[in-house]
Formats: sequence, C-alpha cells, structure tokens
Amino acid sequence: MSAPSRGLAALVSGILISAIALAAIFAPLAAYDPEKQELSASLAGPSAAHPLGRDRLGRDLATRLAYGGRSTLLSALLVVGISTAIGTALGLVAGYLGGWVDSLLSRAFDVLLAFPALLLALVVAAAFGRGIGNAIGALSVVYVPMITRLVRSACLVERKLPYVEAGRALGYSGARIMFRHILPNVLPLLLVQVAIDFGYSILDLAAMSFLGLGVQPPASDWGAMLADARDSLLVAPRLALAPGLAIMIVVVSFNLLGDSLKERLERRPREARQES
Amino acid sequence: MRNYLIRRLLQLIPVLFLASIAVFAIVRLSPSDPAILLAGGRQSSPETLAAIRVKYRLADPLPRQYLAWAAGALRGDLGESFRLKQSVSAMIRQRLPVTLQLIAMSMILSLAAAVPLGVAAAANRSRALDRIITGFALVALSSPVFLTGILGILVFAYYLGWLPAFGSGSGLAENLRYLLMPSIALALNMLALSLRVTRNGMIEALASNYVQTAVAKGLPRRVVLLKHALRNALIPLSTVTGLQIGFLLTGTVLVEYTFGIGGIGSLLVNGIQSSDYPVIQGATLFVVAAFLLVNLAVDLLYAAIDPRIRYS
Repeated sequence: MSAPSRGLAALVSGILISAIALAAIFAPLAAYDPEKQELSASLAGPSAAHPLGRDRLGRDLATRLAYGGRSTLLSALLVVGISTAIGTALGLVAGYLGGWVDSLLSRAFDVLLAFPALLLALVVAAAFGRGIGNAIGALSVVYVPMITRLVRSACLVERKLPYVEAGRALGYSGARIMFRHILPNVLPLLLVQVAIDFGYSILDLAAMSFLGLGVQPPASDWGAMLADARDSLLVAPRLALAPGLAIMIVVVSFNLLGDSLKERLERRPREARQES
Repeated sequence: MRNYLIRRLLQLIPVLFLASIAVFAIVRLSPSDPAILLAGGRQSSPETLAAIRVKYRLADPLPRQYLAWAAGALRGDLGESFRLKQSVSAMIRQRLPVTLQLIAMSMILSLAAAVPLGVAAAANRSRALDRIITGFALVALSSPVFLTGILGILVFAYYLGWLPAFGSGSGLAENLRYLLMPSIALALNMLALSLRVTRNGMIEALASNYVQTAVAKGLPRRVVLLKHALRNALIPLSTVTGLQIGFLLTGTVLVEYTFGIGGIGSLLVNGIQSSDYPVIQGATLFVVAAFLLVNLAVDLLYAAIDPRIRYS
C-alpha cells in the first residue's frame, strides 16, 4: 500500500475504533435493559423501536451489542495493559541486567512458549473456574512472553548506546536508567505490538467466551452472543452476524492501526528510502 | 547435523519436563475437588468420597501423584478419564487421525491459495489487484475462525445445501466432504501470514540482481516470476508454514468445537467443560509435545531447503 492509502486506512480504523468505543462507553444510555427478557417477543425481527430486532429471549440486540462491546473492549484493555506492564518490566530487567536473571527468565518463558497460547489460557481458565476475571488473568499471563522478548531484544541494543553509558557514569540507578531512559526509546516499538495484541486479545477473549469459559450468561459479550446465536442460526442469522461483524471490524481496525504505526516507525530513521 | 539433532532433542527434555509439571500443577491447583466430580455430585456420602480418593489415589501427596502420572506418560499411559472411564491414550489415538486430516487439509488449502495470490499481489504491486488481495487477507486474518465456520454452515450447509454442517462422516470420500468446510475456515485464518510472506519474498526477489539479469536476458515474465523469483520466496514460506502447524493445533480446538468434529481439540474442550482432569492433562501434554517436535522439525527442514544454513 502506498503512504496516502496507509494514512487513510489508519484514519478510518481510528474512527471505527472510536465509534465502537463510544457506543460501548455510553451503552448505559440505551433505552433497554440488556438482560431483561421478554419471551413473548422471542426472535422478533428489526423494527423502529428495536433496530436490530431481539434475541431468543426477547432481549434488544442493539443494546446487548453495545454492552457486549463494553465487556469485550474493557477485557481486552485489561489483558493488554497487564501483560504489557509485566512484560515490559521483565524485558527491561532481563535485557539490562543480563546474566543469570536473563537466563532464568528466558528458560521460564521457553516453557511458557511451549504451549500454544490459547491452549494454555483454556487450561488455566478451566482449572480456576469459568468467568471473565479468570479468562483475563489467563490471557494476560499468556501474552507476557511475547512482550518480554520484544522489549528484551530492543533493550539489548539500547544498552550499548552512549546515553546509557552516560547515565551510568552520572551514577544513576539501574531502575532509573531502565525506566526513564531506555523505556522511552523502546516505547514506539512497544506501541506497534500493543495495537496488534489488542486485536488478538479480542479474538482470544471471544474464543474463550465462545467455548463457555469467558463471560457467563446472562451478561453480554460478543463471543458469548455468537455461541448463543448458533441455536437460532437458521431463523435469525442476524444474531450471529451482528456480534461476528463487530469483532471483525474491531480486529481489522487494530491490525490496520498496527500496520500503519509499524510502517511509520520503520520509515522514521531513513526518510529518504523509496516508498513501498 | 546429527550432533545438532541430538542436542536439540536433549534440550527438549527439560522443557517437556517443566511443561508437564506446569500442566499438572495448573489442573491440580484447581479449587474444585475431583472426588466430588467423580462421585457425580455433592450429595455423595463421605464414605463414597473417601473410597474414591483411595481408588484414584487422590489422597496421595501431589508430588507422588505427579510422579505416578509422569511415569505413566513416559510409558504412553496417560491415565483414565474420570467421566468416560476410558484410557486417555486410547482416546487420543482414536481421535488423532481426524485432527491430522483437518490440519493437513487446511495446510494444503491455505498454501494452494496463498502462493498464487501472493505472487499475483507482488507482480501487481501497489495496483488495484494487490490492494484487493492484501485487504482480503487482512479480513480473513481478523475474522475469528468460529465466525467463519458459522457463516460457512449458514451459507453452504443451510442455504445452498452443498456441504454437511456437522460431524466428520465415515469413509475417506465422506470424510473429505465433511471436513472441507472446517478446513476452509482454518485455512482462511492461516492464509494471511503465508500470503504476506510470499508477497514480501517475491517483492524482494524481484528487486534482486539475479532477477534483473533474467529479465535482461529477455526471459518471459512467467518464467522469471515462477522459476527464478518464486524459488527463493518459498524459503521463508516453508519456515512460516511449519510454525503455523503449531497454531493450527489451537485452531483445530475451535473448529472442531464449532463443527462438532470428534478430534483432539473437542476432546480437550469436552474435558475442560466437564472438569475431566486426566483428559485435560493428557491432551494438553500431547499437544505441547507435538508442538515442540513440530518446531524442531521445522528448524531441520529449513536447513534442508536452504543450503546456506548448516547446523553443527
């Protein structure tokens, strides 16, 4: 893609993410209760009062979609936030200190990386019980090694640069050099990973809810709504399409955002290079 | 090469050992009491529960339970399912073929689509066709595999009636038909990465000197693209494809569940949903071991394909 179309893609994805985030934030302003059942209106089609119609239990689909976005986006935010905070700290420590700390962390992560990511999260969630809290915790653990590896390798490069040496000569503590000097330089790289991880964590959270290990009924969640919709797929496919498309749009947007951040980052040091 | 292989295999041992401890610990740290699950409910008398604890050796200290399980696993015995009272190893053996078939079919489908599309995108770089192909790949990557599966069931099974919606059928011909839609759903998810790697490899190859020479010699564009450029572009693709087998193992969990296919993935999900610990432990350990061995095989394959790489 050329630069202008990348910029446009980033803009469009930014707008889409903001729109969905706004809908999620202001979900409580909706006219309906997302969990109030009205069985007489089961599977009612779209109407003026219910633009997306109702689900099997007569609940307003649009309202549930907004509340589902709330749960999905907030959970993804937590997964990415927790894993990035832990992963960055460990990566900085491993990369900056090196030695046995680095070896120990690397070996531990070798074991963690021996599990396909979602599989480990499923087993953890299964052992500690269903529920969104455990799903978030499990996925946060699973996302740590990737962040740590990224920060560690960037930190290994930074460590050899003159500014770190200068900091050491001035007698700054290791913690100060790591978090106040190296971290800002690693941040752009981290940002790309965060955008991409955000998309993946939405997919993984939806998968866990789909398997019944994440959000529990009657709470709304896109993954759980999709699983629910399977029962009435033939009668009311919109029940599956609405949350499915919502997941897809958000994930596409975050991937586009990540790609365009990455492109900008790669271009920065060598502006003169020909556009790709 | 031989020494390298031996060293890598030896390195697998501690990782597998620690992974097995992790699997065992995670499952056994669970707050629920397996004896109650085994007895079939909370109403069971304390005597029944005590008898069950003795029978399944649940009262032993955890390290001893782990050793018994690990020793069994080394002999290929992963214990007995709580719920179905069957050998977990036998259940895995029985369900493995359909999962392998699913993985193989989705690999083939994904590569069969990704390579031509990647070449076409690279050959028409920055033009409309390239944008359409990369856009399609992005959407395919971002769509959860169970959504693709559900949409496939809706369109191809219900509306058009071309393909069966659930299960895996019996006999080879029927198997292929039943697994086609699940494989497509999985393949679409893998497609994006393979396509991107092919496209980038082709773009790099097309810019290199030897391809310029081939063009200058007046070779037809087809020959330059397919014979000269593609060969080098395929090297990174082989690594990525190997690594994707590992991620396919997770993908099959979701696809098998969506389509009601009785493979390793649905074995694991059923185990998780019914707190059948031996099944969860056994299936997870099996998948982890397979994942590690596949990654090793990929590294070795890489050396076989690219003569510049030598392991010693």
